[in-house]
Amino acid sequence: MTSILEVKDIEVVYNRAIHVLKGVSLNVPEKGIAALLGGNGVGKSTTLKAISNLLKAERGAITHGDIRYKGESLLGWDPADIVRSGIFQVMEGRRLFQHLTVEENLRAGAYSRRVGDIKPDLERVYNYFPRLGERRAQKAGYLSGGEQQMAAIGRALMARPKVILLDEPSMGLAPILVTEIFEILRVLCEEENVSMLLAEQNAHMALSIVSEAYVMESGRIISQGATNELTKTDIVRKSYLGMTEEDNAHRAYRQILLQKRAAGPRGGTLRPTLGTKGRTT
Amino acid sequence: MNELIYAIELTITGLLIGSMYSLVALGFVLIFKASSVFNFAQGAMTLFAALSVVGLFPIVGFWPALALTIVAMCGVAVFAERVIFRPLIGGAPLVIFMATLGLAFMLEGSAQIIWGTQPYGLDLGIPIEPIIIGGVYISRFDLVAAGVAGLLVLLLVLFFQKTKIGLGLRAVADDHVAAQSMGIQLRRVWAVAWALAGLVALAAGMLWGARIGVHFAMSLIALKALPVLIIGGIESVPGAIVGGLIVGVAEALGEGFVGSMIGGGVQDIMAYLVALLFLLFRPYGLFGEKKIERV
Repeated sequence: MTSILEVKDIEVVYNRAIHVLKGVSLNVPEKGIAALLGGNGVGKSTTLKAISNLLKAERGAITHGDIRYKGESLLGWDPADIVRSGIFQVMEGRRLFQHLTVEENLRAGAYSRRVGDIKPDLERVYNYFPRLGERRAQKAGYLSGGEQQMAAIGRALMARPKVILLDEPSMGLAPILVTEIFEILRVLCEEENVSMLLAEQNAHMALSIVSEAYVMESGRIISQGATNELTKTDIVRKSYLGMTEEDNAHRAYRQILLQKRAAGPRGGTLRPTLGTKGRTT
Repeated sequence: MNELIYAIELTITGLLIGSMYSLVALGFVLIFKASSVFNFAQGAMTLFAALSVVGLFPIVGFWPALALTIVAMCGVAVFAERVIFRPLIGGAPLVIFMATLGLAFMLEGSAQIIWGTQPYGLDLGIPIEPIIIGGVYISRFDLVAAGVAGLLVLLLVLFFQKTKIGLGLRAVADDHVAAQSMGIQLRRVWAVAWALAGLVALAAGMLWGARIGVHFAMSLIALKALPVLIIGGIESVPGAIVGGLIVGVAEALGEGFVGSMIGGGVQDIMAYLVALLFLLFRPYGLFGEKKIERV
């Protein structure tokens, strides 16, 4: 499969002192979804912001490496030009414009487009997300968490992007909503011909829809590969999928609980699971 | 009965003058909304605009003077965005605030170099005889001024609601990083916000200039805007309007009724007294944006 977006060995430094990314390389397949997995603070968001060139507001800068989109380097581009070229980021925490209505949020998503009429695009988004249509005149700040995530994804669609970068779309959502959102992402990828890069802690969910994945730890990619290969690797199974010798994650979690109870509060060497139902405790 | 008519008269005068306070406060609101910066230079911009108009008036005539001043204010806006914002993006708010203070001195200084320090009069050609409606005297000038202020506010609201750049301004006001992530150019939006603040400063400067004369004390008009902002809420356009009206009426009624008892001078403290009450009981102001939090 050809790559639409290639990140080549980038290093990012914040405040000229804090080395956050220490050589990250990844590829986003054309019309496919790649996942970037890892826990809190390993550099997933920084990687996405480096691609969109949104680091400046946080005093960050790319010091090494290259980011190529359709073969062309994106380094030094204005964020607006990157959006116009077809890369749209859905930031962590949705970041809707709280005091604007749902429809105004969607219109803002189409800001970078030069064409006048965006009505068909609005209708398209309301088709995918009928609940947004019902609430188009409501202020976005009053939407539920799931609706906000839908609005954030809809806002991205308004720009007619080629690549959508999604930063933790599962954050703060109930498991059933997470499943719904990921299903939507999969459908969008197929129907709208967009590629996606998905930064997620919820590895279990993410791996269910992506074709290849990268696992990050403290600013580096520590493991990568096609999804079916990756789920076989021990490190991923243990650290991110919560699978132990048994394949059933749910059972594994219960096992941890039992072990913990048996060994007292500090017992048990197994880490609690990330990204499975165990997270709800 | 006379008391009542007097009170009505004072209230109307207060409302009309208040609309001019609103205009001054509006300049602050525009820049604060777009960039969360309290623009200390707003008073200096008002002075600069008014001085440019009265300075150019005798040389090129009224309308050209006005047009040139509009161009000058847009120039100030672009300059402010380049010199103050672009290098200071991501810096501490206090640093940017200090930079606006610097801009204030630069504007006052250059105004002084170009037009000198003497006060000017500005005659907009509005007749001074008051209109009398049912025994109530209303100043024609204040009426026109209020009309201009109202029209300007209406245009601004339409601009914010109906245009693309207006949507961009509101988006940036809400979350500027998110706005940037969808290709809204912060630089352009900030420059537009400063230009709008400049135009509002121009209108305020001309109206106040025609009322009290154009001189350097005019930049202190910013001090009148502070209580208005506290009352209305610093990020709210309706707040600036209502806040201005409240201050205007409070001043007029205070001076008319309390001032006459204690020998005058109440006018100058009324605005701050009301603002103090608001700080105690409603620190966000009337229309200040509270964070929307879902529970």
